[in-house]
Amino acid sequence: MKRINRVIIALLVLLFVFPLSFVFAEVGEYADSISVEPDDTESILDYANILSESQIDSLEKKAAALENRYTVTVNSKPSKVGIYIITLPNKELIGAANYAIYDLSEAIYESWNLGIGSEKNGILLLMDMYERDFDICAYGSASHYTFTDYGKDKLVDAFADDFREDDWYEGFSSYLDEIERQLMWAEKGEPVDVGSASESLREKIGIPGIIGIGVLIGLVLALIVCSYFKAQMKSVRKAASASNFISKDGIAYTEKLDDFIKTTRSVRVIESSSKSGGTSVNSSGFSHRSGKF
Amino acid sequence: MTSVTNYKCPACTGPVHFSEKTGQLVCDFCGSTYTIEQMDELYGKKVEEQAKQEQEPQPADVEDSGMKAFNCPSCGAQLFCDSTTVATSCPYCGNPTVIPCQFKEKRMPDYILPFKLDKKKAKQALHDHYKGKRFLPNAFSDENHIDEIKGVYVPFWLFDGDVVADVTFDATSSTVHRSGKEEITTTKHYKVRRKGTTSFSRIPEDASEKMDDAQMDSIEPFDFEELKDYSASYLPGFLAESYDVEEDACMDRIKARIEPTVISIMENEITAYDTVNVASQDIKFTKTGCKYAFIPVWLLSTKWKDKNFLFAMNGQTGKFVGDLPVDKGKYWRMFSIITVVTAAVASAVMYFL
Repeated sequence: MKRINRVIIALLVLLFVFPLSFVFAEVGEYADSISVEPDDTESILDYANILSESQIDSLEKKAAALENRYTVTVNSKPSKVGIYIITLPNKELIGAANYAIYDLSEAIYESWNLGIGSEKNGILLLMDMYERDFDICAYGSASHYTFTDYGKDKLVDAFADDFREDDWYEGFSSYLDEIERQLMWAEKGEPVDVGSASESLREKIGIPGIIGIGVLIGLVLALIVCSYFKAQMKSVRKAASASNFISKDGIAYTEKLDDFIKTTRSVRVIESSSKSGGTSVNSSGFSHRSGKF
Repeated sequence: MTSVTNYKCPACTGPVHFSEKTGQLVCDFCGSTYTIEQMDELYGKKVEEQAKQEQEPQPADVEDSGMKAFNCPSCGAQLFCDSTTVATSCPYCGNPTVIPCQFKEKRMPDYILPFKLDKKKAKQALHDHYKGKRFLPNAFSDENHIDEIKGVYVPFWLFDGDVVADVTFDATSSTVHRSGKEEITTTKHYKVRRKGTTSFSRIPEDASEKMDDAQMDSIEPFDFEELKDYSASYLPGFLAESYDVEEDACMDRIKARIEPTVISIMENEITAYDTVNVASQDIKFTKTGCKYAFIPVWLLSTKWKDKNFLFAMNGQTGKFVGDLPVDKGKYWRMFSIITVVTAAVASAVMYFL
């Protein structure tokens, strides 16, 4: 299996060694829109044409700002992290119809020479609009440090709702906002992960939220305690039972019937209560989070 | 004029009263004591004869007012009483007075449960009742003066009866098991039917319109093993009222108490299921007997902010009941303190989570 994967990846890499315009010219109407691999200033490559020019500009500026603003230090080595978004109308466009989205993202990342610095740190969101598949692919130690498995789940959460409603620009904006949050925490030395400071209640709901919940708990407790003491003020109640006066022998049963009627079943999906932290990196040096949108 | 009876000391003719401590009659003047049997010998026949003689309407009935006029045998003062008053005391000379003719056209009590606790105990019980009541207004307990304490023999019906019950329940039992990431709950549903019979004895029901039913319910239970055959000799020193609620008028309340009792017992005995709920019920109560009894109750009344507060104590067991006023200031003060302190602690804990 690994061997097959290696062959596939090798083929894909070979494919991308050629100018992309040559490849794409073979596979349909979108070929003209894809000319060459992105230059250093391009972060948002919308080959599926789902964004307007102004939206692309806005996202480009945002991604560039994040790349410049945050520096992640791993093993005393400061690094910037490249941010890339690529949309494809379908995988056939690049002759990769039968390949998994995560293999494709690795191939693109390597063949287009994405990433920043000697370690090529970066994170790529690749989307196949036909299959509605996505893959978040990170490379380089600073990227793996910043975008943990848990962090990638949060990135998916950021765009999932918008993408489900085909609100692409909002989805990408939310995705970049979450990228920024994770870069910020990574820069502080506390990347977003299971049980990290970033996931504390304080960070999730903010101080007003904490105070709100605290007041709510206080109100409920006060109501329970005060109701208890208030109930002590009332001792006059109509009797609702005559248990003190029933025969000591209790009830003499003349008939006892227990008839089975039916069986019903209900199923509840158990959500895992804990997740392990860290980042899962494959043998090619990439970490992924794939799925459907 | 309707006649009344003063129980007087055979030795000094002073007034006598029933002593809760000794269960005997004690002379207020010379301190002589007499057993109930001794007093019955002296006064029993007289009281019975008076009750019989005065079966006819009396000219002294005060028309349309529901009151009756009597002459105190000790001081001759004219007393006005309710038509249900059986025992009272003269407001002028203070002599305990029994009015046997009030039983005319009505049943004589079958039993009497003598007082075992005295007025001091009732006062003490009231103070104990205030203790630990955090919302009791300070002024209520500090400035409060008891307007009146009176020992009253309250008329009760004691019902005996048989019950035939046929109750159907919907019952379920559930098992839960895990399969991969799923939790599967399997619930088996059953129709459970129970038929049976039982009996109740001496279910007490307040037979006086004047008494609050809920208050009389609340001072239960009584130890009916200590019931005595009725004798007017237990009455001196206390008030007593004859019934003005007929026994049949109490049947709905009796049934309302019996039905949940039977169902509750059945439910508790159906133990093989996780949930048991009543689907249908057919519970028939057949009265097999009804006795008339005088039950001892201490009544304490007070007034605060133009509102009357009435407390009752079981004259046999000392169980004390009575609703108390709530100080809204204290209530909201405690509410606010708990809210603020809890909110601060909870917020601090959540901040560091």
